[in-house]
Amino acid sequence: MAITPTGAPAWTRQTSHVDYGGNVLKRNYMGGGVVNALTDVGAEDFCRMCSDLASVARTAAVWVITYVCSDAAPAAPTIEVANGMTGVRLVSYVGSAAPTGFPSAARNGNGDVTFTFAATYSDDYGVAGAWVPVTADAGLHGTTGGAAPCVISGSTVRVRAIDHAAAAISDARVTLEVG
Amino acid sequence: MPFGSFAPLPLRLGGSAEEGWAPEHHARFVADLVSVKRTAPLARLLVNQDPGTPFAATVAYYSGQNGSGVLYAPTIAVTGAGDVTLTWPGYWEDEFGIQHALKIRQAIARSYSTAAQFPVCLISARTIRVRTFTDAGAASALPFSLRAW
Repeated sequence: MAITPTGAPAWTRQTSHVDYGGNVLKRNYMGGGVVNALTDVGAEDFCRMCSDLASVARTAAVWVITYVCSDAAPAAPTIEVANGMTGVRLVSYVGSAAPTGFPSAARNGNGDVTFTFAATYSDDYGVAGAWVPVTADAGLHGTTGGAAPCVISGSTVRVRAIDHAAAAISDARVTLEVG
Repeated sequence: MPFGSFAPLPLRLGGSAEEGWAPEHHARFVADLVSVKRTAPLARLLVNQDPGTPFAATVAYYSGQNGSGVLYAPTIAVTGAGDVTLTWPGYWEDEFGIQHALKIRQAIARSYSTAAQFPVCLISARTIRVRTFTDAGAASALPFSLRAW
């Protein structure tokens, strides 16, 4: 019989140690502690594991994306790498033709793109969880100074690549972290 | 035969909430662990730049998947003020002796200042070159943090 995981996926930020099997009353079988560290898992070890996973799940990024703007020949940006909680893609794709499960991206102007994320993603067991971006941080690649301010609106994140004089940077390469 | 701890190994899923591990909890555990691993950074670090002569830079803080502490930090090379290259080894070995090949694909740098700063990264396999600039476009020798994936 297929198993349906307890609770909601990590990106909902709702999971606690209890969803992972942690329990403040967890105890060792028959009250015996670890007899052999090579063969036994202690209740203490297990509770630490559950609590720590809950901690990192609360703060982990949902998407980390590196992309290149297409401004010389205006087109949607190319996503070079996409690390998402639901999957990792190391083969590049054009933002206007996103593979299933990965965000699309559209060009607004030179160095100016908007990513669109799904409102719901499913984990590896098929359990769906709603998500909306609440934090975004982007950094510019290259050898001359620049910045990449972000604006979040609903399920979209707009990123502009600009230099120190606030002029658009064409064909910019940017890493975007969204949580 | 006495059992130690809360269950014998191999661990069998099931039992009570207080003495066992339900398959539903195990499934949530592994699903979420894989999710957070997919976006977990390789490393977070803080680099201090010293604009003295000769110009120097040091890793002041390092926390990476390979370990925490500056002993695990990448080597650092300074080209000039606000121009630092960090190089990680070809692989790192975890606590169980398993080697993990390193290839850096993504990075974000941030400078620390009360004025606007414009740091940028350049990635090449195992190296990240970070250059930091002021809001006038000049090189700046300020501390910066770096996240790499």
